[in-house]
Amino acid sequence: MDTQALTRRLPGKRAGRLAGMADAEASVPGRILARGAALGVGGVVLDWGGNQLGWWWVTVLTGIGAALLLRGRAVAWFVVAVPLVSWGGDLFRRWTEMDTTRVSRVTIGLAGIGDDAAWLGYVLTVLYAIALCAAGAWATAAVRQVVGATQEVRRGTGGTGADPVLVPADAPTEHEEETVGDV
Amino acid sequence: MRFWRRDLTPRGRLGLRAASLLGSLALAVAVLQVSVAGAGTIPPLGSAINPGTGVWITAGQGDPPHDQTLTLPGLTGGATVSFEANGTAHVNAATDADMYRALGYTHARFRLFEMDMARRQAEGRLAETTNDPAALPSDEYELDLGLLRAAQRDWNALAADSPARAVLTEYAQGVNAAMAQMKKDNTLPLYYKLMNFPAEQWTPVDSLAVQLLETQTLAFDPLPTAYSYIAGAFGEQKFEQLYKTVGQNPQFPYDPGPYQKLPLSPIPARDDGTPTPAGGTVPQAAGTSAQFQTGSSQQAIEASNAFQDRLSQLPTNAYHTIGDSNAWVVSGKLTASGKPILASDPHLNLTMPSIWYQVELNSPSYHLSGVTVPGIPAVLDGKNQHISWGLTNSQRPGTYYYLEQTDAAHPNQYFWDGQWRPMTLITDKIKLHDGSTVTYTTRMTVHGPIMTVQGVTSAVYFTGTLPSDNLDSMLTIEKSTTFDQVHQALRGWATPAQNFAYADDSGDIGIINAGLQPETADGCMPWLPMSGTGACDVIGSIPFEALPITYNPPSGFAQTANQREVGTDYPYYYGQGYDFFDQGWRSTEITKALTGASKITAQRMQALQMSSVDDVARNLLPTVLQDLQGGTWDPAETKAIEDLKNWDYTLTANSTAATVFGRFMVMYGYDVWHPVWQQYKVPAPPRDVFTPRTTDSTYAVDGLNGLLINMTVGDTSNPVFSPAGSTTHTASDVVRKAFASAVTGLEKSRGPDESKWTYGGSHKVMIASLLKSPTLDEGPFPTGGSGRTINSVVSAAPVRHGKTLTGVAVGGASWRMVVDWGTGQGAGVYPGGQSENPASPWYSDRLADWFAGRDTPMLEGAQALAATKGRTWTLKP
Repeated sequence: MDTQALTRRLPGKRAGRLAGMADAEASVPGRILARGAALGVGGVVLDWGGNQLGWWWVTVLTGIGAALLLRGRAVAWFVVAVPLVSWGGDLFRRWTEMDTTRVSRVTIGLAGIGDDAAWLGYVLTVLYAIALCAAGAWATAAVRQVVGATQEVRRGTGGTGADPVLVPADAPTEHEEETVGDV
Repeated sequence: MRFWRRDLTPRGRLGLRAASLLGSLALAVAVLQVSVAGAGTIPPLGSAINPGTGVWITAGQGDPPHDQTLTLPGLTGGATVSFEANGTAHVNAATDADMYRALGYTHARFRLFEMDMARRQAEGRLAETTNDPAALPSDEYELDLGLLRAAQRDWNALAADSPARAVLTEYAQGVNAAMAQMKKDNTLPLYYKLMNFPAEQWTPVDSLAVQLLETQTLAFDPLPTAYSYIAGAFGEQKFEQLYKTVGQNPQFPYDPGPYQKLPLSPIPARDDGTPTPAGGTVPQAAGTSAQFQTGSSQQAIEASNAFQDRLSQLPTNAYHTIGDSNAWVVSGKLTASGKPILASDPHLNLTMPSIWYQVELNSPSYHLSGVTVPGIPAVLDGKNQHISWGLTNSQRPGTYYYLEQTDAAHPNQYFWDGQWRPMTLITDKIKLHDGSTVTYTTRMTVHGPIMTVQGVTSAVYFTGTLPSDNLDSMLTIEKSTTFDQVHQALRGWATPAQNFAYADDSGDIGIINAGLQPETADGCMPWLPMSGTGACDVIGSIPFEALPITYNPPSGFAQTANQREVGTDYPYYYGQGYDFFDQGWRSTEITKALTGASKITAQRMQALQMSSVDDVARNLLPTVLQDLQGGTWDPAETKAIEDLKNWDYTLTANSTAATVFGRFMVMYGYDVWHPVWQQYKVPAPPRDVFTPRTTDSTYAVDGLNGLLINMTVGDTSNPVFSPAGSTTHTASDVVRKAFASAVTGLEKSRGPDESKWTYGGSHKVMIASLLKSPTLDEGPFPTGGSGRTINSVVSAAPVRHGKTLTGVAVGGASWRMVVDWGTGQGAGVYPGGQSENPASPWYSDRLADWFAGRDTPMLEGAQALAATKGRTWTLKP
């Protein structure tokens, strides 16, 4: 078996918590993907359900949940994909059943944005949903990072207290643990 | 980024993370702020645009009703509301009370937002709903005028056993039940979500306020303040030479006399906060010349200036601009069936949604079919099983202006009947959209509210806010079966002054004028601002018995098209030909069409309602063509003359001759009157009402067109045709000059190809949205007609995105109806649809029929039942 093909890691490089766990390395990407997908589906269901009750703020909560349960790019994907599917999908469903384009055109017109820009209504709704999710996710991740950094300062670990020096480090690997702040 | 970050000190990393946290919190606050509270014109986005409960679901709410059982609390016997394919609602109820409750419910289900905006405008509460800067001036104006005060007074005055009180109460309950249901189902109109203001409970006072707003639209007349400019510049003699008591074209009053002079009736006390001082000495009215001087004085002009300025900030329905209508009745002597026909087409602002909502109403006491105004529980234009009625505005003036005498030594006082009197101060709090309030004080004198906010103090006496029990009159009419019953019912009708055209299944026809007409002492000039010291106060009204009326006239027909209803020997002040009355062109066309006619059918009357014949063209063009014969013309001008020669005087959308004649009239009127305006240095009021300041002032000179035609035909050497410095000497000279200018102008503006000079290319009609949004407007559409044709299309151009849409009208036949008593059936159409939901198939589905003049049968009884299958609400308590 070609390890590089499986893991896409540079030959000889192992790092992070998975170092030394040769058998587990092959299933980590799959587990992360499955976990992300499951959370994504859950997020879509929660968002969609919340919207049917008028609870638009559920999308903020799913963003918070994403930041607590996912890391790195997975959060970014969640923040974009889940609202796109939940809000956008619901819009699409309604568009197939009724004249939402007319409503969109009127809404955009009354907002003073344009008289014939129905498409903007759809786009802005989805962008707004992403902003809701991102607001929850970013704030949560930022809080986690501040807590972590505070603890680090208290422990007095790492750094010399001098000005930071740009020192080339080892090339990063995909399976190193990432934080949202690094994205 | 990661490279050097790991080499930051822990404190450094903490700083970076803290900055990220601040950024995230800023985003979160911004997003949540806009989501919960909105920002500026942005509504709370969370509730507004989420797909599950936001505006998107409005699309589904537009689906036509289907058979279903709904709850309407308070019903005693039950009711059904069935809908035709075009949304006409048929309400059937076991009791009268249930019927009005169901009507309120139905109105609210389809037109709640329209009703809400109407009551808010009337009550001075628009600023709560929007950040539009025009809302606050409108609210201040309405609080001054006092529609809410008048509505509250009228409600309190209704007797406990008054039918109107019961109807208004039931209606309001129905509206509120619908509102509660829509709130529960989250199906309020999308505008509430977008504009972020609550839908509040409906009260009977709200219905009366909406009624008063319609009165204001029809009857609040600012023309005296505009005429002060002209009068002051011309002086008394010249002014009277130009502006005659009666229009100079042929007039066809429907009541030609003889007339009786009876003592004036007392005008009921306002009792709306207007002071009622006693004592003092009524000054003697000054002579007419002095009156004229007062009305045209610098003081009057300054007051007019301030008032016109104020008007320019208001919605177009805040004062009379389009209150013109047609209605005529034809006796069985002239019809094919041997039974009468009634034709009615009220001209109002054309709006989306329409001012009208079409219904059939059935209960033990009422069997009605016609149109209602959402907010008002009455069929205003329609029929019952035996009679039919249609309304036109009686243009006799009911708005007078008084220049109050004030001075700095007597703050908040005015001089009246020989003494200084305190003004009444009424303070209101106007709520704004952001939740804050502004305090506004209305000052009132014995004449009414002070309407000029700065400068000269002038008060307005408006008949529209006098005590009124119109609803009781309407309810009685709706149950009437004879002309006499309708006539007696109208005894209680106060305002606005209206002509009620009438036809019944017994063969009777007629027209009845109703409403108060304030009179002043002889010598006073109510068509100009008057002195407020007491000499020209209103002293009474024309008594009901002396108002115009016609019953089964020998001619076999009667018509009312806003012309003066009475002849010149009518023994009361009835307004001036130039002040408010239509010049009579439509009236003449209707009279010509019906005189000598026989075997008239309903279809022929529908066709007459669509007539675009211009009587001015008919009268003037032969002489114009004669004058043009002597000229030398280039090919374009020659072609234009040929078009005119072959023209049938109709202003149709595809007519090029109509364009040529229209442009010629503009240039001709300008060439004749502009030098006169310049010679007398007539100042231009802020609103260009009827002064030919520019070559585009087509409406400007219509008031003088009769005089112009007479001079062109029979006084061709009048000095008006040879102003100082011009090369013209006679009417023919001016005609040729104006024609040449017209063709040159058209070539420049419309191009050299005359076949493209279609009338509809520069003359359009728009059905304008109440929210003034192009996304909700319908049109503009090319159209024929003008203010002078039976099929009337008229108004000032609307404004969209700050741009005036020149050549676009937003007024015309808001409803066309013909009732044929040979069959007992009516047919009608209005531009728009029954639903205010833009996603509904009933939003604008009637437009095509309206443009084509295709009236839809007004189904009743079994016919209605068949047409509404599958679309019935069964309402249970």
